[in-house]
Amino acid sequence: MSLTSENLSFAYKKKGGNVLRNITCSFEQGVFYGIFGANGSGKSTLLKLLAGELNSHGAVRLDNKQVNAFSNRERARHIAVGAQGSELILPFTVRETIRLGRYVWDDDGSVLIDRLLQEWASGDLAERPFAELSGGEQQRVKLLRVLAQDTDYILLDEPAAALDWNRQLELYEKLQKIAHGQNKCVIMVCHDLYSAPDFIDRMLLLKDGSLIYSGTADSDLAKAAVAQAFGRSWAKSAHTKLI
Amino acid sequence: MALKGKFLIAILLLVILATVSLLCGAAALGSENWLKLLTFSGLDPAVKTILWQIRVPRILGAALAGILLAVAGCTVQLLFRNPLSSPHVLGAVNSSALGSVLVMALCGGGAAAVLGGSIAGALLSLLLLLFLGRSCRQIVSLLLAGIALNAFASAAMSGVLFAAGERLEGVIFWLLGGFWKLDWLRCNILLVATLVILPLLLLVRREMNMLYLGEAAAAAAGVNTKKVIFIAVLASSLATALVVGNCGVIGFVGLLIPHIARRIFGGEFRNQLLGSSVCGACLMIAADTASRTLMIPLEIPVGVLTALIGAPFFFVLIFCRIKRYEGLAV
Repeated sequence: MSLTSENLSFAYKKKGGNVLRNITCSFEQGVFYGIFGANGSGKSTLLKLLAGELNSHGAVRLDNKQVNAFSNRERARHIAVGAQGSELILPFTVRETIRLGRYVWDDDGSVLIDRLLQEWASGDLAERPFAELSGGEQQRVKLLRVLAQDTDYILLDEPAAALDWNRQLELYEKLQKIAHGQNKCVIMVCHDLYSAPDFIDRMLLLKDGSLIYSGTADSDLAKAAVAQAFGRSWAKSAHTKLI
Repeated sequence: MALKGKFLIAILLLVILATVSLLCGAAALGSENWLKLLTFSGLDPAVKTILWQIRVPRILGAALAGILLAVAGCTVQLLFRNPLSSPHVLGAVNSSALGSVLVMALCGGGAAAVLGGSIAGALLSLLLLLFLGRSCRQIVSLLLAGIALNAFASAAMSGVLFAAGERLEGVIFWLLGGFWKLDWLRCNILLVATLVILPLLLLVRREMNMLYLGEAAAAAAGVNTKKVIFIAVLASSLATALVVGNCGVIGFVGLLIPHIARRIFGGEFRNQLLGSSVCGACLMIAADTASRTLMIPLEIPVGVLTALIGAPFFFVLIFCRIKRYEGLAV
């Protein structure tokens, strides 16, 4: 299964300028992608188009079928989306919140949910009310809900936003393991050029709605593209090894 | 306390309130009849008539009206994820009232015609709401459209009442809301409505719970949000229309009861819905009993009583700086 965009352009208003211009890229399973760019470069818009939330007019295809042609239910069996954090107050426990991610499946995924809680959270978190968690804990539970959907494609918009540095690194490590170990495609919109490039397999860089780089994060081309996008020199370096 | 225990206590309270309401009223039944009530045998024919033709349909109808208004309020508050929402925000209340008032002004208003006018008003309002709200694509559009419709219907109703003058003087009293017109026919209409609307909303309980995530996240998780929003808006509008058509405008029930129900039964939609039903029935029976007995032989419109209770509660909601409302984001 593949998720592709071909000459994808998008504008929010008919008279407004294009937010995205002629983006052509393909996302494969088993790979961890990071989408980077300045504010307003179109990262979140690209993610929404890939997720089918916005109408791409046929430019985005999932397994050769237009992603917008799927029903919500069908699409959710292949693509799970973790949007940028808006404050949510849910009247459920952590376990019940995660179980919401199983909506499209017939089983409640108890085994999967238990495993996710074991890998990602401390043991006593499961039965605590979601509303009583800290911001970082809630962010993690929202992510677990997305992972519980158990799809081939996982699209995440700034999943590390509310996390401390250590938790950010843990998150990137785990997402990398999910991509490689479970043959899933993880696409993460991210601002963290400091740590995230150590974990991603492919970097996509947007500038003013155009894709100016797609490749590994440790090439000279990547350095040049980041310099072009941000006006500052940058190089991928390994800051994140455990002591 | 376990959830089942809470429901049992609420149902017990409902039974007690209904029994007390049965015994209270302008016509004194006499204490010798109270025990006979248990078997409904050996009662004086006049007492039987009072009970069976007047009080029982009225109490049952009041309970059903309370269920429908509470259920509509509960659904709307979750739909808009706003604890200050009520069936008014859909425009259904004033549109229904406008429909009924127009029928009364134009045709004199028999029971069926008034009810028909109320339902027509609500359905027309629903169609306009869906059109203005862009076919439920965005819930916030629905909210804004509903507020606009509500204001328009209110103004139009005032215009009709002004134009009709003395002819519709009695309508003012009806608009204040009350159960004095509830007979077995109206009661059965409310019963059928409850038996249709409540299970319909229970059928989409999973989807309604998913709406807590927000409509974009719910859609991304696989929910057909357009369908669910349509069902929720339709059910709430119809529930409101049927109560308005039979009982006039009774405010604050749809705003107040879901809050109480969430505190007691939690925010999960099914529990909230069933809890709101029982609480709504209790409140309406209590309000009806009070309206019939506080100023015998006069009857205080139930809408006045619910406004007297509900308005202070509403002010507390607005001015109290509570960020979390039993599971609803503000």
